[in-house]
Amino acid sequence: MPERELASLKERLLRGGIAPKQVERLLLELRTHADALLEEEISRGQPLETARALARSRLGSDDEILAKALEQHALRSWGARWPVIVCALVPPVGLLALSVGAMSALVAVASLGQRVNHTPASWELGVWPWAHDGTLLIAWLALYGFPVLCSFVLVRYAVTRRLRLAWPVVGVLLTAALGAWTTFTVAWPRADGRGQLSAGIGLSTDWDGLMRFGARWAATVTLALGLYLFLRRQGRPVRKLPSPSDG
Amino acid sequence: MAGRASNFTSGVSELLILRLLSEREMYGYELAKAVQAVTRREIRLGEGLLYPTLHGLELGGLLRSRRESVSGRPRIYYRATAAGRRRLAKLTEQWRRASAAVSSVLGEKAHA
Repeated sequence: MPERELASLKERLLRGGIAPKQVERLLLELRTHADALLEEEISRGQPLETARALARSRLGSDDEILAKALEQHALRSWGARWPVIVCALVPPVGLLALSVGAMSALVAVASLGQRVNHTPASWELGVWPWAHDGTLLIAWLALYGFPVLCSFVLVRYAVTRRLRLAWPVVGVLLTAALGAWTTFTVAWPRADGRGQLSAGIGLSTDWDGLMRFGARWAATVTLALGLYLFLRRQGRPVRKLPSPSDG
Repeated sequence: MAGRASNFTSGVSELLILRLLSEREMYGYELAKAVQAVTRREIRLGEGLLYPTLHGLELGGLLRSRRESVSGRPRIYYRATAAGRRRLAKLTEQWRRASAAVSSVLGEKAHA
């Protein structure tokens, strides 16, 4: 089976909602089967071109294979089956889970820094610098990195499965909004023992920060949609070239 | 009724595949040859159409597969699971009843 035909079938299967893993496996088996049919026809004494045509005919047309694959609901990707849940709900929920995880890591790092080290009385804060810097890094990741990461994962998922644009875009907008809205607050204990370590995660209600919210939201959306366009351009389907018989 | 009729005919390939793979494991090309042999070439499907059905049955837990490389070529062997055998028994029963019903109708017409 010519690679050009396989590439065309692959694209049609993906656009039909078949999961990439299933598509790859189907193409692998079709290729192997086509080779076996070709050998069989040649062993029967058919000339190469006739053998190729017979093997191709015995395999079934692209339309028939596609229709049969689409009949099998289990072969469809989750994104094709439940686009709203997978594209618009899972990424924001995933971002929330990552943020809570980051907050737990932040508290763990700060607590460790507080317990392990006896801080000099001359220091302003009651934790060592590495703990302070570590928590800042985690907070930065949660505020700026995770929304971009979640949006990128969603965009890549949508492109590799050829999902329609609408729900992935909604997912990116929601994820970016949630990311831009999230705030982290950390209160450090003082070296003289006053105060306690406390950390919180919440949603900003500070309307003075509207510009900051807008900038973070726009940056995430721009990056994600830029990646979407880039990946779409990279993975543009192979156009069916005219065969010699087409004239 | 249209849905039932469609299921009636589309279940044939599932029935044949489960029947053959409950006897022994086979890879796709081998299975296609076996289908032709047991049906005496009365049922001619595009051989490539077997694979979506095989994959669907596997994802449904009715088949199990293993991969092997033969002369540098990958081969995926399939065999029926216990659930596949139960499904086969059910499909066989359905097919026998439907077949008997159709034969009965045709028999009546022949005598009319």
